[in-house]
Parts: sequence; C-alpha cells; structure tokens
Amino acid sequence: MNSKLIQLEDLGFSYDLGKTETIKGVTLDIPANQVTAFIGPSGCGKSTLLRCLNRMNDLIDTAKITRGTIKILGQDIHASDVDSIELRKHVGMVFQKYNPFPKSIYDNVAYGLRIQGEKNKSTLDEAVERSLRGSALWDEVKDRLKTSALGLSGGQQQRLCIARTIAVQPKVILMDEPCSALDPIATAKVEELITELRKEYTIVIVTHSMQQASRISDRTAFFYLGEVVEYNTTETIFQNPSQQQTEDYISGRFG
Amino acid sequence: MKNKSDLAESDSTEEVSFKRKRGFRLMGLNLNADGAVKGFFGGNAYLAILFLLFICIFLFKSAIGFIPGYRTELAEARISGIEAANHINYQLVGYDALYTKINQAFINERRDRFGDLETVVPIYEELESIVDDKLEDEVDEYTELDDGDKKEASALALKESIKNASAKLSREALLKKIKARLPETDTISDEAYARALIYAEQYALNDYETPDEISRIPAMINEQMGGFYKAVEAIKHSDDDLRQIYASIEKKSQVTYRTISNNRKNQESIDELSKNIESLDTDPSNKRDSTRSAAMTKRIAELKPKIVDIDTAENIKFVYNEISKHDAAADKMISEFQVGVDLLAKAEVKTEKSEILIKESSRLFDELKEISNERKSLLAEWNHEKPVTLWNSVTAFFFGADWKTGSDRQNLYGLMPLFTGSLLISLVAMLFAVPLAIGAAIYVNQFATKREAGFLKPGIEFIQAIPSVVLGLFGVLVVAGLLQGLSECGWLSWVPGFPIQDRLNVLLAGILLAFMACPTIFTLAEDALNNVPKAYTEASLAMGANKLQTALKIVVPASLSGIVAAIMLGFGRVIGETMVVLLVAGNKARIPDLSNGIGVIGESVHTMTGIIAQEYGEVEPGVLHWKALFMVGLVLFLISLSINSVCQRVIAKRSK
Ligand SMILES: Nc1ncnc2c1ncn2[C@@H]1O[C@H](COP(=O)(O)OP(=O)(O)OP(=O)(O)O)[C@@H](O)[C@H]1O
Ligand SMILES: [Mg+2]
Repeated sequence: MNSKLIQLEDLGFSYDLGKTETIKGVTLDIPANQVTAFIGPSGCGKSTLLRCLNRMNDLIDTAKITRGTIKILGQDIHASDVDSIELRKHVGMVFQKYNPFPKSIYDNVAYGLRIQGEKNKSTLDEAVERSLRGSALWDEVKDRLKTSALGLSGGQQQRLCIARTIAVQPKVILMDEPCSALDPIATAKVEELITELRKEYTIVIVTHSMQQASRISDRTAFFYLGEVVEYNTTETIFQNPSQQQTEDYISGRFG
Repeated sequence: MKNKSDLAESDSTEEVSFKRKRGFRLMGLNLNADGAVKGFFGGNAYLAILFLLFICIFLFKSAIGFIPGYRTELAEARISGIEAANHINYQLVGYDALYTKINQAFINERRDRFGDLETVVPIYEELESIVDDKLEDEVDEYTELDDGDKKEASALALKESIKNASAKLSREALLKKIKARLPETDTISDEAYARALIYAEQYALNDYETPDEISRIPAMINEQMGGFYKAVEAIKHSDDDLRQIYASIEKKSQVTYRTISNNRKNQESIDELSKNIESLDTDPSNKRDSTRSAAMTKRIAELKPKIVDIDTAENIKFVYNEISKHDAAADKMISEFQVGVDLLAKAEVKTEKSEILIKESSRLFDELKEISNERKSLLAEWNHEKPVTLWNSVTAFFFGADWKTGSDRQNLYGLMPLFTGSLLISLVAMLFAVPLAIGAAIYVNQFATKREAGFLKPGIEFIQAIPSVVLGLFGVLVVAGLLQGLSECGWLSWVPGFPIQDRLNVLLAGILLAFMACPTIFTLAEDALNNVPKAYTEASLAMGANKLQTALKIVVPASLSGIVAAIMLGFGRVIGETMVVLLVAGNKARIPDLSNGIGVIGESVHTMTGIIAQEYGEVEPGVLHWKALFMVGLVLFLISLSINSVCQRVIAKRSK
C-alpha cells in the first residue's frame, strides 16, 4: 500500500462533457510520504489532473471524467458513496496565488477544524500552534495571531495557507505552483518546508521550475498534451530520461 | 496637391512626428476629436454636479425664510393667548387618551360578562324602526279590530308579518349597524335576536310603547358592573370645567390671532406694493408702466381698510382671567379622576385584556398628573409679552408634536409626527426587506443553478420597474383588504397590533416599501457577494467546507461592508419614497402611540414625503406653509445625503 497511495488508472477527463479530452488516459501510482512533481509545458493539463485528485473539478458544471479511475488509499474517489467534501478533508490543496481568508491569522488556521465542528478552545489553540510551527511560521507570527492575515508578506501568506491545510492533518497535500508568486528567498523557505512536510504527508506538486523539481521532489512525471510521457524517480528523469521529448523539455530545447 | 518629390521628402522627414495633430479651431479653442469627446463626457459629468448644487441652493433658498416667519406666527399666537389655550389642551389630550383606554376596558369587560344581552337593545331598536316604517298600515288595521277572537287571530298574523319583514333585513346589514354603536360586537347570536324580536312584537301589539325590559337592560347592566361603572362615570365628567376654560380661551384668542395675522399679511402686501411703485416711479425710462403703478395704488387702497383695529389688551385680560380659574379646574379633574382610579383598583375585573388596559391606564394617569403639574407651572409663569426667540422657532419646528395646517386657526408646523411616521414605516419596511433581499442575494449568488439565477435575478430586479403609483394602488385596493382580513383571523391574534384598527397603516406601507426596497438591496448585496474573490470560495471548498459553510463563514463576512451599504441604500430609498406612502400610510399627521408597543404598526401615520406631495399643490408659493414644506424637503434631502455619504465611505473603505 505504501508505494501506491494514489493510483490513477487510464484516467480521462474532459471540460466539455466529453467532446474533447484534456487528460487522455493517464496511469500513475503516487507513493506515500514522497514528493511527486508534475512538470510539463503550459496547458498540458497538470493543474487539471491535480484538481481531479480532490475533485475540485466537480465545481465546473461541464467537467466530466471520461474514463478510468482514481483510487486514493485504495478507495475509488468517484464511487457513488464517496462525498467530495469528506474527500477534501483528507486531500488538502495549496493554490498558486496565496489566498488566506480575510480573517485573523488564528481564524485562518482554525478554519478547517471549526467547520468540522471543533469548538474546544484549547484543542484549537494547540492545533493552530502545531500547524504554524509545522509550516515554520510560528516564530514570525506568534505575537500577532489576532491580526489580519492579509497583513503578512506574500511568502508568509503562502506558508499560512500551508499551515491552514495541514491543520486538519490531511493524508495528501496538492500544491499547484506554490512558489510562482514568491521571490527567491520566500521560495527557498517554502521549499525547505515542503522537504520537512514530506515526513508526514504525501505531496503532489506542480511546478514550472526544473531546479525546484529536482531539488525537492522524489519522483517526477513529465506531461505533454494531457498524457504522461515519462514518470520515474527525479534522478532518472533529470539525468537519464528515456524519452527524447523529456530530455528536450528539461534542457530547455523544447519548442 | 503635392508632387511626388514633396511626398518623398515629407515621408522621410516626417515619418516619426511628435507634433500635435491639427484639429479645427472654434472661438479660439483648438478642438480635435479627442478633445470634443472628452469635453462631451466631462460636460455631462459636471452638469450632474451643477444640477445637484442647484437643487441644494434652491432648497435652502426656499426654506430659509421659514424660521423667522414661523417665529412671527408663534409670537402672534402668544400675544393672542393661543399658547395658553394649548397648555390646557395638552392636558385634555392626555385625558382623552386615558379615558379612551379606561372606556375600552369597560366595554370589553361588559361584553365579556353580559355578552349578547347588550346587543339585544340595538337589535331591538333596529327592529322597532322596521315596525315603524313598514308595518304601520298593517298594524293599524289589526289593532283597530276589537272583537276578542279576531284580535287574537290577527295578533298572530301580525307577529308573522313582523317576522317576515325583519327576516328581509340581512344579518350582515344588521351587524354593521350595530357595530357602529357597539364596536366590539362581532356576531349576533340567535338568542339575542329572538329576544329582540319578542320585544319588537310587544312594541307593535302595545300601541307602540317600548317594553319596560328594553329600557331596563342598560341600567341593569350598569348596576351589575358596579364599581367599574361608577369609576367610568366619575371619570367621564372630571374634565368638564377644564374643557370649558379651554374652549373659551381658544375661541376668543383664535379670533384675535386671525385678526393680528391678517393685519400683518395685508400690511406686508401694502409695503411691497409701495416699494414696487416707488421703484417704477424713480425709473424715468418706464412711461408705459404708469398704468401698472396705478393698478398697484388701487390695490393698496383696497387693502388698507382690511387692516382693522383690534383691542389686544381687552382680549389678553380675558385670557388672564380664564387662566386664573385654570388651577382649580385642573385640580378638580385630577382629584375626580383619582376617585375613579381608586374605584377601578377595587373593582372586579375578569378579562385579561381589561386588566392590561387598566394597568396601562394607571401608568398613563401618572403621566397625566405630571403633564398637569408641568402645564400648571408653565401657565403660572406664562406671559404674553415674553419675546419668541429664533431658537424657539427652530425647536418648535424640529420637535413640534403637531402638524396642523389648512384651517383658519393657527397653523402648526411640527416635524415630529412626520419624521416619526417616516422612520417607523422605514424601519418596518427594512425589517421585512433585509432578510428577504439578503437571503435572496445569498441564495442566487451561492446556491442557485445557472438557470434559476437566470430568472430569479431579472425577476427581482424587475420589481424596480413597477411604477410606484401602480404599487400604491395595488396596496390600497388589494393588499389593504387582505391584510385587514388576515388581521381579523382569530388564529393570528397573537401578532401585536392585530386586529388592525386603521385600514391604511404602518404595516401596510412597510410591506409595500419592503417590496420596493428589495431589488435595491438585492442587487447591491448580490454585487458585494459577487465581488468576493473566487479564490476564497475555492480555498474554503478545498478545505472540505460545504457550500453553506462557505457562504456563511467566508463569503458573507468578506462582503459584509458591501451588504451593510446595500441595506443603508435600501433604507435611503425607502425613506425617500413618496407615492406609495401617500396612498397607503393613511396620512394622519400624529405621533404614533408607542405605548401600544409593536401594536403601533396598526396605526395610520403621515410621512415627510407624503406631506409635501399632498399639501404642495394647495398652498400659494411664498407663504409660510409653502416654506415649511420646503423645510421638510430640506430635512429629507439632508437625511438621504448623509445616508449616501456614509455608504460611500463604507464602500470606499472596503475597496481599499
Ligand atoms: N475551467 C476550464 N474550463 C475549460 N477549459 C479549461 C479550464 N481550465 C483549463 N482548461 C483547459 O485545459 C487545458 C489544460 O489546462 P491546465 O490548467 O490543466 O494546464 P497546466 O498544465 O496547468 O498549464 P499551466 O502550466 O499554464 O498552469 C488547457 O488547454 C486549458 O485551456
Ligand atoms: Mg496550471
């Protein structure tokens, strides 16, 4: 089980009720407690696939799974008795543009627990501290927990979003280009954090930065036009890719 | 025409030119298309501002003369003694309110204890009139016969024909007639009817003599009501002396006031005419206006005899003389009332409603005592020569409790009844509109499918397109009746204010205005909700929140300031609405009686907008009444302006 936390089997996905497929038969096994990177040219469907994993695409009326299955922890997430809301409690997501709620830092982190009905103050306090420590933000914000989250710097806000996600202790964290809106120093901090989080969580990250992928990920999948071209350990992909396309892309020779 | 070499040259040198393009020149201005478009839009924008300024100036200019003008009228009212009469009247108004309550309690209690019995009398009286009208001939015929057997037989026939005739009078018509006398009556029981019928037959058979029982019923009831009846009797006439003093001061001082006031107005016209003549005379270029100046001179001659001498000294002596009797009369009223109140405290009260009324009236009695004492001391130091200050005039307008115009008595321009009326209606309207419109906005924005939103949104927004006069008429003709019918349903009697006494009332106006305010609040609130970044919603959903949690915990709080602004703008719309309130608020300029609690929503009120629309057409431009209406308009304008500017600040703060 450990090696196959998420299993995609011939997954097809369409934004227009099946007329055209954006994801065309992807088969992947994502192992637990590792960082898996999705790379590939713009528009190849990385974000789309990521959003399939927590069923965020359900919010789009015309979105449709055309074929295949996604299993997380052995359960088909599209089975009729699966509630997407319950699923999302275990599959958290961090977005490209940091988006903390216009609330206090504390309320942001406590949000996930509160909507699950947690009211006990000391439990919440504990969870907030744990999550903020876990996202390496505690020391910077511990004196201003009640101030607005929007007053933090961009990098801090993104780490707050990560803290908010890990507060509910999900199994999987999906990250869609989490550093693309950050400067190099903030990026370094978030990368460090991701490396830390790997011990407890399974992370799937979409990135456009080859360096980032090679620095932080254990495995890398290269996508092209909605298909997986190559999927292997990061080392293999970057040093010894089996496909010409992959090599072209990571060396920057891609058209 | 340029030749080729010219073209080539210009091409090479002027290929890149930073020079301003030439436009056409107009009156020294260098205009081009850009400038013209800019000027057009800019001109329109500034025109709007200019127009607003113009309205401000116009309002201020028209209203400004009111305060000194009202001061003059108040001073005239003081000199003529009306003010003294008003001091007495305050006590009488208090007395009336109190007496009404106690009397209501009495009627209620009587109805509860004797039920049908008291309806027998009015039913009988109706039947009696039928006997009088329709059966006269027949009865004559039958009573003239004197042979024993025949008489008996004909008496039977007579009874039969009375029954038939009275059956023709429908029960509903009968009930309506009786209701006018016994307002609490809601049904006519068969028993009471049968009993009244028997008495009516006796009346017919006994040569038109009212049966003794009928005349005894009221006395019997009153006797059995015991202490309660005595209390009401004690109270009933306690105000007589005071009322008489009031009437005599009022009668005399109103005449004096009218004379003084007319004299002043005539003098003012004369002064103005003289000034006009003078300016015409000193202008040498105006030969042909000699006819005009002659006409004006003639008018002055007409006006002069209208200024009549008046002996204010004699009048005021009379007023002071009457005032000297006031304290004794006021004390008498209070002490006799006290007797009644004491009796009332001891009297046996069985119904809860009466008990509540009596409890309330004991509070009102304390108030009456206070009012009486207050007015006593005010009258003691009342002095007809004390000058009226401008400030007095300002407070008399803003805090005045009466708006009374249109009679030849002293006109009163007190804003309070109108202001409270407008406020009350607006509050009731908001009470309905806010949950409705905000709820709808949240639903449409957060939960509705595209198709639902596709007809809900334009549907709600279409309400705005209904002309308010149409809505007002709909209110008067349909909703008013429905509401009254509903308020009379027994199972709704727990609603405060039900059953409604006035057909047109605060609640009705509030409901219709709520309907009108809905689209405003809905649209703005929906906008505010829509402006919440989708990233927040996404983040919340990705955390495993459901749609309801996301809507209530993220989207609504994030748009709260916008929603507040929407509510306030809705309020502004409601308080400024004219046509609907004019038609459905009932237009009674009196301060709503808040002692009824929420029941106040069943009362008729008048509004600031309504009064302007209603009275503007009837007044001559420039007179004080006209200026008073502009003052009301000014107040309204300032209220709307401040609401709007607060909203703008709220919205600006949000977008930061
Ligand atoms: N909500 C949507 N509705 C319809 N089509 C969409 C939607 N979102 C994305 N697409 C289309 O699906 C394809 C894949 O988009 P996706 O965002 O997954 O690409 P990506 O690999 O994440 O690209 P990038 O690296 O630029 O983020 C694109 O052609 C895009 O136009
Ligand atoms: Mg993407």
